Amino acid sequence: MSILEVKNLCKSYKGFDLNNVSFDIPEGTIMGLIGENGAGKSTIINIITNAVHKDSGTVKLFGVDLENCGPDIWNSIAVVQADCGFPEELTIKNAESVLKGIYKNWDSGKFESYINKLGLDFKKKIKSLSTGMKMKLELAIALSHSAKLLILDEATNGLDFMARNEILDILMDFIQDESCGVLLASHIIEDMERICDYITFIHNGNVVFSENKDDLLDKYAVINIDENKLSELDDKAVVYTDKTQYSSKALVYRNQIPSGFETEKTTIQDIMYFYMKGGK
Amino acid sequence: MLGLMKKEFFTMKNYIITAGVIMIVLIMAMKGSGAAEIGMFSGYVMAYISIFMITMIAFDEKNKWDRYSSPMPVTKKQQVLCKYIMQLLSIIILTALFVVLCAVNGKSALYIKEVTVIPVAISIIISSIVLMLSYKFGVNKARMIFVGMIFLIVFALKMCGLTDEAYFITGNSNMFYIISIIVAFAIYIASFCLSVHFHSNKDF
Repeated sequence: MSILEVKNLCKSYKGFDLNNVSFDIPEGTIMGLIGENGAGKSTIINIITNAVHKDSGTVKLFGVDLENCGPDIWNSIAVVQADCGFPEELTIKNAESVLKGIYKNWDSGKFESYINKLGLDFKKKIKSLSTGMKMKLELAIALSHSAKLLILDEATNGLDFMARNEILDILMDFIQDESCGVLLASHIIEDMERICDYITFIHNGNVVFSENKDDLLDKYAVINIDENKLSELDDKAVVYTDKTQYSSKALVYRNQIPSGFETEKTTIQDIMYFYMKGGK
Repeated sequence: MLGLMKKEFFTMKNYIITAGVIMIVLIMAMKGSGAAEIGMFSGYVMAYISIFMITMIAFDEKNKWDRYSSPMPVTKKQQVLCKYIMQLLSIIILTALFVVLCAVNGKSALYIKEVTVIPVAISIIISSIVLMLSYKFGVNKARMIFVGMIFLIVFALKMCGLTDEAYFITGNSNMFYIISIIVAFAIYIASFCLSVHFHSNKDF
């Protein structure tokens, strides 16, 4: 069963359209939502999290239409965003007291252990926390009410390498329970490559692809060749090219490249770069 | 719902304490003053309380609480209801404190009624308007619209010659007080329904 199913999702703003976005997150997997700034990642997440109304399309959480989701469904969802929504005058202890009254499955013991593990202090006011600490607090909150779907919107932005790794490790632990799923939106592609099972690439409000990460990396390859040799390749084999005065690079379908051509292992970042740059 | 109320409480407790202290100090300082002065003062305090929740909504806007709380297991209606309940509770708590202080100062029940009921009704009506405007237009626009409205009302009263404060404080019947409170609550409930509608249709 899919934990999250998004089908033909559309939303229009002045100067921006989200067009027929579709993807789904199977149980026990991490889906990475990638795309440049302003591609539409946050709009998709805001629609899924009920903060923005969609124009058309369907969103199903645990098989239930978004419009029909009741407290049981929302109790199973946790969202980590770039902004910590709590009033800054509150202490972490106050915030816990608030959340205890909101989530029916709130686990104080679990929260305390995350607070200690992440080096936070219950007595500290939210306004005194650094960006990284706020993010850790949000993560501790997200993991303390038995959520089954964890949604992170640019949650690792602005964090140093160590803090990012700490958060990614926690996500890997979370997904060990195979009834859980994660939707991770970020433009830090290396994080995505490290932990995601599926990648959905959004460009200018459209889904370019939504596929299994390993399949994607198997499907594409990058070749460095001069223009003459490039013309020897079947047009169908070349996805996009990037030509400079001195060299040419191409993103190609690995299985359509004749033997004799030397291919490089591709990365999600390469694939994204070629698709965004476009042009053959 | 309980969690939401706690959040409002933690955020606004310093404001309520400040309002309470100001009230105690000023009432003590005004010991021996006439009904008109105390009535005017209670009106001033009620106006201060009336904008409590607009301050809370401003905090929510600043911290993007509405977006943060959208995926929580609370409905938009509960979120609005919480603000309306907390606003009413602040009015009740500070009115009770005002009544106790007046009684401690030896004021009669009739006197207390005269200087309390109308300011409370006005406070409830002001709250209804500012909350509804805040949910519709956001706090910044709501503040400007509200200030403009107050200016127009004062101007209209001045034009009609109804600015003598004694007119409001003395000589009103019990029925007038009861009707004032009923009308104030009716406006409050209507404002709540509109605010739920505005809040539910908003994108954050």
